[in-house]
Order: sequence, then C-alpha cells, then structure tokens
Amino acid sequence: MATYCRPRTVSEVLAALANAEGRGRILVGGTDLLVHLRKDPFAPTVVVDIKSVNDLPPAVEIDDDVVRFGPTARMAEISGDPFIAGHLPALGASARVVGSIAIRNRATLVGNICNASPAADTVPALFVYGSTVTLTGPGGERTLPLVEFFVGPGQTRCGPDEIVIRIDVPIPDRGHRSAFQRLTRRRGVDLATVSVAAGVDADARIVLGLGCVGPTPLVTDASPPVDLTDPAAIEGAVEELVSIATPISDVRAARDYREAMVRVLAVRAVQSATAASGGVSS
Amino acid sequence: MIGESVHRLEDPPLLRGDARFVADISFPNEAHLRVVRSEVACGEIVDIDVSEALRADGVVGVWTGEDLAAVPPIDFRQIGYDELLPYRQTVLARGSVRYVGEPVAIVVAEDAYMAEDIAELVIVDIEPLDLAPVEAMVLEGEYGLVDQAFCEAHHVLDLELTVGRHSGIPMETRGLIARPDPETGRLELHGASKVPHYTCAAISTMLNLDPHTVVGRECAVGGGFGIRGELYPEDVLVAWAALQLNRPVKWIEDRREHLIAANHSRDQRHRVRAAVDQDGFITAVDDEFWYDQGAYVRTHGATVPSLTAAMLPGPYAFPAYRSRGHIVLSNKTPAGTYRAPGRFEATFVCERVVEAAARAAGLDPVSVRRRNLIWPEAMPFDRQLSVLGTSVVLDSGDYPRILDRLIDHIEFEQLETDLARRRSEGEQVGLGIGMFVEKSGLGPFDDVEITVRDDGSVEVVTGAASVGQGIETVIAQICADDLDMDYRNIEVVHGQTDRISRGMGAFASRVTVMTGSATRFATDAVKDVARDLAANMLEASVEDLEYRAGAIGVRGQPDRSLTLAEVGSASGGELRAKASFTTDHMTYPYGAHAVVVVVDPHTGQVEIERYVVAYDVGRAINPMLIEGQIQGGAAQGIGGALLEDFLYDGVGQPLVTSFMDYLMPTASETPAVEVLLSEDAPSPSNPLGVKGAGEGGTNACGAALATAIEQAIGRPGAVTDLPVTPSMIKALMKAAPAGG
Amino acid sequence: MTESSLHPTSEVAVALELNGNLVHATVPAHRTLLDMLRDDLGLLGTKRCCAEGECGACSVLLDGELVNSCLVLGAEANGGVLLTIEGLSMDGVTDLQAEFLAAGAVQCGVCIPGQVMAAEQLLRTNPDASRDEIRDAMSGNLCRCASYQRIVQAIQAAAVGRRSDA
Repeated sequence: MATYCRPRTVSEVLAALANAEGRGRILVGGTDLLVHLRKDPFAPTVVVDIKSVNDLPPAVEIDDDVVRFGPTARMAEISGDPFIAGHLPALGASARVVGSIAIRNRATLVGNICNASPAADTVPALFVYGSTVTLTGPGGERTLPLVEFFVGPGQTRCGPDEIVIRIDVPIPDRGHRSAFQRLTRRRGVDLATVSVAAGVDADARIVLGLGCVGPTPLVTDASPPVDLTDPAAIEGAVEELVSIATPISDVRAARDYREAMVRVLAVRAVQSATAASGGVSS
Repeated sequence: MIGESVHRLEDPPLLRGDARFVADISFPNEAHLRVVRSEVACGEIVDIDVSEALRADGVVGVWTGEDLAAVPPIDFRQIGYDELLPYRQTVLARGSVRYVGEPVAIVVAEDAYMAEDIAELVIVDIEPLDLAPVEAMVLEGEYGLVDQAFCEAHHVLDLELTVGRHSGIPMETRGLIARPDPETGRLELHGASKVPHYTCAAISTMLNLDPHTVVGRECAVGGGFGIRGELYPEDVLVAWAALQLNRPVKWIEDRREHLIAANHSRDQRHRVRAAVDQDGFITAVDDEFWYDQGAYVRTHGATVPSLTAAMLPGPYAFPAYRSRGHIVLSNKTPAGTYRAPGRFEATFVCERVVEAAARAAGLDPVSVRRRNLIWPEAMPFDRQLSVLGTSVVLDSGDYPRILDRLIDHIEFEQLETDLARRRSEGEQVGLGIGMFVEKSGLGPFDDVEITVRDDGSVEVVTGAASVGQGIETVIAQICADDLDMDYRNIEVVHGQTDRISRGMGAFASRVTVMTGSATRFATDAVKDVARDLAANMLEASVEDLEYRAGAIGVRGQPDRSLTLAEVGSASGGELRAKASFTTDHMTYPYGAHAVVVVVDPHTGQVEIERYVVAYDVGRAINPMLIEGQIQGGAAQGIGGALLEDFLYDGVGQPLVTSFMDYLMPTASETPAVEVLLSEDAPSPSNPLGVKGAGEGGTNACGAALATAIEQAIGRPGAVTDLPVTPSMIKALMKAAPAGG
Repeated sequence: MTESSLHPTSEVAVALELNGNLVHATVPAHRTLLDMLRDDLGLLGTKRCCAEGECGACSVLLDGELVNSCLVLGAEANGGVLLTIEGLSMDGVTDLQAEFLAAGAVQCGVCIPGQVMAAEQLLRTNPDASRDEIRDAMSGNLCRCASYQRIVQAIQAAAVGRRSDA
C-alpha cells in the first residue's frame, strides 16, 4: 500500500527518498503518477509530495540568458507566460497542447521529462534550445544535457534517491527562431502521433527535436546553413536531419505514416519559425 | 403540446449533480464485487488459486466457474438459432477462456477498494492456445432473380469493404446492485436495464427463482446506445453473490473493464457485387459478408447480421438481392448492438455500391440515387425480407422528397460549383451524400397505466426504460397533449418491474412509438373513465359530457364541470385506466446525410466543414430532443467513420483499453450538425404517426464521409475501409487514381 | 512541522474548505480526491467515468483552478479550497445551468456536472472566449451523447448574460 509524506525542505525530500529504498515517487502535478498508482494498487510506493517544500527553486525564474524551471512549474504557467511565448515560442506552444486545461493546471514541465514518454510534448522544444537538467541527491548536485537524461521509454538517469531540481533553458540569441508542430488524430485533447520542434539560428542552421519517432524524444545535429527562402533547400535539410527517426506502428499510426509525417511537420515547423510572425501552432 | 420543444423534466437534478446513478446508490451492509478477468485471449484454464485471496483482510467470498456450474449460459433475447447455442457465454469461464476480459472468478469484499486489491491476489494459470476463429453459421436471404440480373448486366461491380469494431461506450460504466429484501423476500436489482422485465425474468430463470421475486429498480442512466442494459455475465454474478451472501452486493466496473468486457459492435467485411444497366439502374445486389461476433454469442443472437442483411437495400428498389452473412466467432470481446446496429455497416456498403454504379454508368450520383429510389406510390413496400420476427414492410415514406429537401438545403448545384472551384485552386475538398432507411418501434406490445391523483397530477406507469433519452419528457408530452394539461404535472414511471406486469424496455428506437402509442390509448381510456365517474357527480348522462381543458363538463353549459382532480378525489382513486398498444410491424424512418470535408494534402487529416442530416420521423413529439439525438448520433457515426476502432494484436490482446486510445469525438472536432426534421410520412401503423428518432444521426455517417473524402482527394471509389484514418488517406493519395 | 509531514504514512488527515464549509477526513494515502469526495465525504455529484484524467467527468475547482479530481490525491487537498457541483448549485441552478437546460444540452447527464464545472471556470477565466476557443477549452470533457454543440451554445449564452449583468 502506498504511503504519503509532505516534506518541507529539499533535504527532507532526499531523506524520504533514501528511506524509501527505491520506492519513492515525487508528486507535484500527479497527472501521470496517479494513473500509475491506480494501475498498481499493491505497490508500496512512497509518495513524496514536494509542493510544500520551501527551499525549492522558484517555478519560473527568468535570468539574462537562461530561463530556469523548478519542479513546480506547471504547463498552465508556461503556456501563458508572455516572456516564454516571445523568447521560447516552441516551448510555450508545446506546453499549450499538453492534455486539457485541467491537466495543464496540474502537470509540470519537470514531470513531463521525468515521465520519459517518447511522446512527451515539451521535450522536443526543450531539446532545440539546448536545455540542461539539474538533479540533486545524496552526492550533491549534477547537471547534464537533457539529451543525455533519457535512457528509454519511461527510463531516465534520475536515480531513485535523486530529484530533478531544475531545467535550464538557455535563451537563444537574437535572430534565433523556433516553432513547434504536433500532429494528433483528434483536434481536441489527444496524444501526439508525431511532434516536431524546430530551432533555426541566426546562421540559418536548423536543429530539430522529434517526438513519437523513437524510444525517447530525439534531437538532431545542427544542419549546415540553409537557404530559408528556398523550400526545396529546407526540405533537403530536413530530409537529412530526420533520418535519425525510428518510428514504430501503433494504434495511432503506421510506421510509414509517421516517417512521412515527421518530414511534413519538420518543414512546417521550420517555415513557421521563420515566418514573419515567428509563429507557433499545433 | 405534441411538437413543442419543451424543456426536459429530467434535467434539473442532472444539472445540480443530484441525480442518482447506480454508483451513487448504496445500502447498509453492502458488499462489493470485483470480477477477475482473463488476460489471455484463448487458452485452457490450468488452475485458479484463490487461497491467498481468501486470506485477505476484508474478503467476503471468492468464487470460480466451478462454483457456478449449475448456472446455465446466458440465453438469446433476440434472433436465436440452434447453430449459435454452443457459443453462448457462461457467467464465469469453465475450462477455457476465449477473450481478454472474460470473467474467470469473482471476489466479494467489504469495500470496493478491498475487492479491487483482493482480485489481484487471485492467481489464474492459463495455458495459451492459438487463436481459433470459427464460422458458426451463415444467414441467407434473397428475393428476385439475382443470377439472371447479373447475366443481363451492362456493368458488374465488385467491391470489398470493411467496417471496424466500435461500441457505444457510454460515459457511465456498467454497474448493478442486487439487494435481497428481508421483508418481502424479493431480490431487488438496482441499476440500468434497457429491458428490465426481460432481465429480471432471465435472472430468475438462471438462478431458479420465482419470477415474481426479482424486481428491477431503474435509477439514472448514463447513456445506453444499445450496449447498456443487456443481460451480461456480471449482472447474473452480482445477483448470484447477493443470494449466496444474503446481503446487498454492488458492482461498478472501471473504464478498462468496460472497454474490454461490454459489447462491441460493427466489425464486418463485405464482398458485394452489383449488376447495373446502362441507365444506372441497379438491377441486383449480391452481398456476402463476414461478421466478427467476438468470443461468444450474447443476448442479441444473430440480430446484428440479420439487420445488415434485411436493411442493406435501404431506400432503393433493387429488383433482386441476395445476402449471405457469415457469423464468425473470434477471440475478441463479444459483440452486440450499437446505435444503428447492422445499418451503419449496411448503409456504407449500399451507398458505396450506388456511388460505384454512378461512376460505371457515367452519371452523377444524385440522379442515380433518384432513379433507384422506391417511389412514394409504392408505399407500403414489402421488402420480401424479414428480421426480428417481422417482415420488412416499409410503412410510409417519400424518399425522393427527403433527397430534394437535402439538395435544396445545401444548395447542391451552387455548392458543387464552389467545391469544384476550390479544388481547382488546390484545396482538397469534397462533398458526400448518404441516404438511408432506419427502423424503429419494434413491438410486439407496450402497456401503460394512468392514474389521476387527488391533486390532479397524473402518474403514467410504463414498461419502458430510460437510457438517458428523455423518456419522461416525451411520454409526459403525449399524455399532456391528450389530457390538455401541463406536462410538468405528469410523472412518468419506468424501469420499475413491480409497478407493471410486463414491459419491453427501451431499444431499437421503440419507446416513443410503442410506449407513446400506448400512452395515447391510455389517456383516451382515462377520459372515458372520468366521464363515467363524472356523470353521476354532475347528474348528467355520459353522452352529454365532454372533455375540456383538464375537466369534464356538460356540453353547452360552461359552468357545469369538474376538474380531473375533483373527479379523481371523489372517486377514491378510481380514476385510472390501462391500455396496450400492439403491432406486428416496425416503422421505418428515413433520411439523408450530406457532409463537406477538407483533407489536408500533407497529413491526410480530415476536417468536417459542414454536416447536414435530413430525417423524416413521421411526427416529432419534441423537436429539440430529436435534434439533440440526431446531433449526438452523428457525432458517434463520425467517430466510427474517422476515429474509433478496437484493435487487437496477433495474439488477441486488445490494444485499445482507455479513452486515450479509443478516440471518441470531443467538442473540438464534433461539427455543428444542421438538422432538417421533416414529417412528410407519418406512420400509418400507430395512432401518433411517429417513428423513432434515435439512430438516424448515426446511420449514414460512414457512407457520406467515404464519398466526401475520396472526392476531396480525387480518388473516386478509393475509400473501402472504416474508420478511414489519415494513414490510410495518405496511402490512397499516393496510389494511382482508380479507373472510372 | 508535524511528524506526518516528514514520515510517510498510509493514512492522511485532511482538512479543507469544501463548498464553504470546513471539513475533516482521514483517508488512505493513495485515495484520490474524487474517491474521497464520493466515498468519504458523501458528495456524489462529482462523477467517476474513467478515473484516469481522460474524460473530465470528475472536474472540480481546487483553489480556484479546474482539476480532474481523479488525478489529485485527497491528501493534496489538505488546506485547500474546493468547489464541487453541489457547492455551485447550493442556491438552485445557476445562470449557466439554466442555459444548459434552455439549450437542451443535457441528454443522459452523467458528464454534465463535470461539463458545468469546466464551463463555469471558463466563464470566470475567459469570459469573452470565441466559439472555437470554447470548443477547445471544453475538449477535456467528453460527452458520449455528444451534446457539444449545445453545451457551447449554453456557455455562449451564459457569457452574454454575465456581460450584460456586469
């Protein structure tokens, strides 16, 4: 049977995780954790609710060159934040399509990465900005690039005695543009069939973050500079980049459809990023 | 009153959250039941170890199939055949399992949480076997000279078409409370049942009880759509456990259980051939189809494939027709009826044929429809087919007129011009039309008892049931119309089997037709009784009395009258009457759908730009309710045409076990459905002229959307499978355009 | 700080303001807010239809925000302010509920308490929402009777009413 605690400090959180001997699960939004609890009622999970911890980093902290997201940063705040919409538009757009309003009121950015779903909506965008993740544990803090955080579906490098304390998203230089595109079966609340975030830097190099086309969300290398006025050039660059995708077939779509759509969405994301509005859409 | 869109009587408690659904009801000392289900699609049960479960805190009892060996399998309620008898389902698996979700044991515990946990402790050892589909029987139907028509045909069409596996999936999951009443010795069944009298009788038979001791108690019902309220294994298990324990037993299923254990539907594959002459007349249709019944044949017997076979010709006068329907048992969840059962599929097939015939003849599909329709002069039209124990005699209808109504409403020619222009500008946009005939008002009878209370309010006791469709409002309107009183003073009782000796329940869009007609007869009868009673009180002869605005008065003497309440209270409760309505035939509403879609050329996603349903219901009691049902029905049909499908992997594991994968339409993609309600063809077979309205919104969605999509992508005839997904559309767009 | 805030317990004492009243309950650690409402506090208007956050039938307002009560632990509501359909309907039906009635937006009705709560929150936070914004905002609340068209109509009508009252 599950047990519950609500520590007040990060050190108490770490103590609770240590005592839980691998059975501890951090609770903030609970939108994934509660579904797991329900599916496995006998698991002796130790639920560590960190919403009363008073020495966590703030939910959203905007610095000169980085936006820092603490464990309590919720999708509703991220999607509604004008600074994020202006400077990290792909992230804002991806947060806006997570679940329903009720889900976005609870679900957190940190939770989204820790759940490590291949379909995690915000991860492709976090990738294209070169985000890092900071964990804290008994051995102190460590920071790693987000791309190294994911091991496989549902698996991350966060140890059982660690918590993710921060996601740092570098604010791109002026001239960097980005956008997010997502394909779903339903227009309403739905899981992604394929999602793509595109970042285009001032030198017209393209980086893509890809969702639902591999065991974890994927990020491409940067392309060589691309003539963004030439649709064929964009398509050519995208074609090269998305070759890392290894989608599977499931109830939402067949593999070959996903392979085709990741190209379509990538081109759209690049075009959307570089359009005058620097717009975002889903 | 009839024909007015009055507000529903049911709504205020539903809006306040005060309405009580079965999950909201509890009794002192109730225990909770949880079903242990097979996780294997096909296998032999080696062992079920209940020892740990029996030791758990809070356990009340654990039982397996062996304990219920005396309980017979669930019988057919409709269209049973001897060939299907071996495939009936026992309430718990015995020896082997045939689908994931099949009940193999039950756990009863002191609370629902414990029951859920303890169920996990029951260890079921099943030796998996290869999936074993079997063909149980072939249904055959035929009229006319089919082979000759093919010999003489100008064009012969040959299509292979499939419809996926869908279901009603009401928002409220199934549930039941069985409560032995120590005072009366009766067993009360609290919960939804679309056929309360049948269900109580069947359970009493299966459990060897005196039929009068099982009593149905209906509460608020969170949606039916054909699947809720059939007699399921769980219902019998709950009743059985309550009798074993002599205490109330409650069972509420969870969503995953609902998706793998409640009836599925559709899932048909057709190979249809058609003979067409040079003028686009379809001279014969020869359809062979395979219906995936799932693991067992449940209460519906062969209803769904029989309806497909009998209704496939739709509104068309095909001179010759042959149908061969194969009922195939598989290792999927058993199937039954779901809104427009057998007809969603049949209309898809029929309209695919009509579209193909138009292409073959080089004619436009609307005129091909028109020349193949049954003309109004031919009504009533004997289909020379039968289903559900009645011969299909289309009672009334003006099919060309409903097509004209639709065509006029959408301004067809202008719309076609606009769409052609948009296509020439590169947009992938298309229009699809689907015509259909529905069936409703299945007999054979319904009874209604009306009592005028001392305060003048009226109680109407029916043998019907609610599935959330607004029965209380509609029956009150019919009653109020004839008694000339306020419908809010009428209380409609339904689903209470001890209040009326027999009843047929709510299915097949029957309640307004059958219960409504019985209500009309009962109001006439109660007025006669009132006249007889008032004659003495007013010292007048019965012949001189008239009914006026809720009162009995002496003709020509406005001041000499008695209200119904006065008559009723003076009579000591004698102001009441009972009436029956019986019929051997169904009524056949009909209509047409039109849809405009835009297909994204890159992703194959379909957006519905416009959706119109024209539907003739003979007479509309409450247009607002009917339009609401049509809109909702259309959303379900659209879901089945584009989104919903119960998929399985190669070893029979269900891949769709939550709302994240069973994609029902949400507010975002459900279009505003324009409804053209007409009353061109009142039914001659009942006193109100009504036809049922529950299923016309769903019926032709697949047919209309298939045409619209293929027109949008410029691949006529390409859509052969529903649901048609973006993946499939992209594949069709890549393929070379089909000939013709 | 209490001991229980630090040490994991299998039972949690919860105190919250529920529909204007302070209530107390002691619930198992894994009990959801939905189950606590229905089974421990006897408020049955909030409906359990999927229990996985995918249908919206259990929508309530926690601390002024729309949440799926099946995805919140009862323990998490400790110290919170909760409004359920019963609280909203305390004085009979609201203007919004009256618009649902007038629009014919109710069919079977089991999703309706959740629809009403989601719609109420939408009116409070985005009173000028367009038709498409309403549709998207309500897309987390499934209705198998598919009364969506009329629910949207009811929300629009209530928004007009509130604007003219303001």
